[in-house]
Amino acid sequence: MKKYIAFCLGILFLVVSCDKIEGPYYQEGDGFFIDDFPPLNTETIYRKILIEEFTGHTCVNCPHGHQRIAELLDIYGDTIVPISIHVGATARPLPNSIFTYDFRTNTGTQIEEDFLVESNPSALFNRTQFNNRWTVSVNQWQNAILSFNRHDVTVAIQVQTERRGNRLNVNTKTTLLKEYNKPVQLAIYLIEDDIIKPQQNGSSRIDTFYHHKHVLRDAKNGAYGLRLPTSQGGILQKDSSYLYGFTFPFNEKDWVMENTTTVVFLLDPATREVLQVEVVKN
Amino acid sequence: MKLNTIFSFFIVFILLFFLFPVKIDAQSGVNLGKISGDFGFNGMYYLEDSLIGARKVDSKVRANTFLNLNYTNGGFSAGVRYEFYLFPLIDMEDIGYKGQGFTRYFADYQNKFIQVTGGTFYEQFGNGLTLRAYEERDLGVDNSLLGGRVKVTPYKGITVKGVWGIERKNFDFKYSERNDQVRGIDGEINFSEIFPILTEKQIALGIGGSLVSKYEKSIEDFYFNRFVGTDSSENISISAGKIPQNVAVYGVRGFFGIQDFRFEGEYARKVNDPNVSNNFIYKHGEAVFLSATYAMKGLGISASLIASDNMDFRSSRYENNNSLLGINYIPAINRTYSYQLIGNYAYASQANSEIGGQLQINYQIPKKSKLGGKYGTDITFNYARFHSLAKDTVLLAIENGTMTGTEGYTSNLFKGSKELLYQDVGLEISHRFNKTWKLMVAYNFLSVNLDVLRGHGGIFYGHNVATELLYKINSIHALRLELHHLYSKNDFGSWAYGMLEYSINPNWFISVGDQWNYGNIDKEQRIHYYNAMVAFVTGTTRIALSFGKTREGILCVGGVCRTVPASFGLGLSVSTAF
Repeated sequence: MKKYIAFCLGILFLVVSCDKIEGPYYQEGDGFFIDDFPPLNTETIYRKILIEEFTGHTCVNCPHGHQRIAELLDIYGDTIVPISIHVGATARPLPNSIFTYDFRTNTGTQIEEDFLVESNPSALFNRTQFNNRWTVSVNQWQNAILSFNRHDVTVAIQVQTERRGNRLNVNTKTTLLKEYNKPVQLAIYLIEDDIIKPQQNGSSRIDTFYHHKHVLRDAKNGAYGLRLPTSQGGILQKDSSYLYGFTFPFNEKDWVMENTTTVVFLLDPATREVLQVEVVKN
Repeated sequence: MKLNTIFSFFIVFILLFFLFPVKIDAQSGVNLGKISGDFGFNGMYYLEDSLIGARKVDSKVRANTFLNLNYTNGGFSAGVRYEFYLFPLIDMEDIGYKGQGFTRYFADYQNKFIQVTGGTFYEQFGNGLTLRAYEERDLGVDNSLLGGRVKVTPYKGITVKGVWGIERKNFDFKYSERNDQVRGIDGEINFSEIFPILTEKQIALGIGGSLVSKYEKSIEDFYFNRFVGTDSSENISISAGKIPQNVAVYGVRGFFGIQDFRFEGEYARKVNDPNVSNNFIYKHGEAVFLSATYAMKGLGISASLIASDNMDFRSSRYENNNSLLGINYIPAINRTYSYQLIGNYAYASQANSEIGGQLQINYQIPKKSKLGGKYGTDITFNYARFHSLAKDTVLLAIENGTMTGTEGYTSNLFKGSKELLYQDVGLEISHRFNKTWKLMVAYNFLSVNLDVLRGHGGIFYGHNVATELLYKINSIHALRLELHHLYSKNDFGSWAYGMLEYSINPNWFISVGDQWNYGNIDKEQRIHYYNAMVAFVTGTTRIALSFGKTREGILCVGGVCRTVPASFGLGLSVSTAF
């Protein structure tokens, strides 16, 4: 019997793992207070479109895609929110060349795998399929934008940010404009503009001081974000609001905070569709 | 070598194992063992119906398909399950149960002393307060563990179980990238088996205990808002080092029975487990389950009590989807019904705040008595009532305007609040008049807090009457008629339901039915949800074809619920077991 007791105690020792945390549990804030979010005018809210553009610094046709994004921004203004995601073979750093910088991110790689990105340049619109494909080639980007009903608005997102030392504080308020009976997740991406690094431009030209725009740098809680709490029936009630705060640390990064923007979007994890997106300059 | 690759080899090994003994048998007559399994296909062609909210779906033809194959030979068993849910029924897609692959694969060996399992397995400790890895296919719940299990029986009546594994998360097979795991041990001593004299005196006595620990790597700081006054908030954080990576739950239980009486109870306690379901508070959790039953010929009485405080326990602290990554289970003690109209008002266990009780009395008026008639009359009465727990918010949480990052609140596990969650008073009478006619009549009065259970809707009060009349024409042909009526001024108002089923034993079942929401305040929503079905059954195989509309609602099994979207279309289901 003794050996059985020893056996049991041995297993017990293996599984008895418990971290008892002593208070205080949170760190005192650094005085970052945000004003209350302004009231929403539901008449002026429309559905924005997240455009995830897949690109690479040795991709010969990608500057054409970057140019197309700039043209679409001229047309649609802040109703479209582009993010450049460096993925695939043309995004890999090349040792012993001028393309040694690594723009890639774990989040970007996951999106590449999940949405079957086959080539650069291409883009994903609100993480929905267009003509039965996830990624859309450059010449169809405007048609993809036009395929959305901008007046079908499920949710409004408000974002405030504050630069504080080497931290970027982000506060978000998500308000349901109509009932939604499935779980949703809130994703927060950090984007940087004007990163000056080389870019292949056509088969024989390299732009050494190319301005890389809308580059994905970091994401809070992964590619699909944080799930918002729902009621027992899984319903998000109309007019319910969710306040969340996040912080991007910039220490030991080569990111320039002044050049960054924060993109916040809400998605349905079951279909992966982005329901709403908002962007603010930091 | 990646873990996924190892699993693939494992699957191939098992499949080969199924085939290999056949050759051995042809030459040497070695025992082949036995192959068993089951197959299910549940498909639907979806039609759009904007009136009931049946939305247009991308792929109109969808289906849930699975195949289980099990092999047993003496003390050895192995099995695999393949699921094809790449284009699943929309209710499964809505909860993220979408994908395909081998979702179960295991090998198991047992003798009188030891049982060992490798691969995926299901397990429950006690009543599930500390651990319940289980599958409920209709809900899209499969919390199986991938890992290993050992069960030792050192002496008759004494068992010790140990488990170690990673919980299944729908069709996410990247187990090697997961940062969480579950470990547990459970022991039980059944004195009635150790001391035969107890059995001789009709005494059942046993005790048990379990300990389950979850490890989840804490990688990121958790940021939240502290509210100062009414106009502003401050962004503060819980550092990753202050988020517990190892969270333990322990429980003790026991049972005692003498002759027709039986009592059992279990208590469990969880240490600090900040997670999204409790708003990242550091308070401990606890739960208690008590049950007493008395049964004699013609009479059965059962009473149960459950109380649960902050006991939502999952592999991921960021997950609060009902069907995902739950490690433990708070039993639903209320009576569950198959009555069509009140299914939508079923009660879902509230792991973080509930106290409630259930009393059920079953009595049979004796056969050949005046009231009982030739076949007797069965009467079932039940009463269930649940409240949320009374909570006192701690001072720091009041000052901060949020419970996050504090102890949250104080509470007494046995002190409920005034907030009613659910109440059911029911009476059911069933009587067989003769060999031809049988009648069941039931009445229920329900009070359901839809605000808590669904997030909106206020308190629902409803009176439901359900009747079922069976007319056995002869040994082959039978008719079954169901007529139900739910009267309510709340939620969707009153409903009526009728269903007529004609069966030709043993092969054919034909039914037509209609749910009519005649009491809806919005006249346009006074919709008929009609259904027709033909089913053919032979042996263990059932093939059913159905057409009709399904209302949007809630589906609950054992106190676990999920939403069901409205749908309209043609369905085909095939199931078989071998």
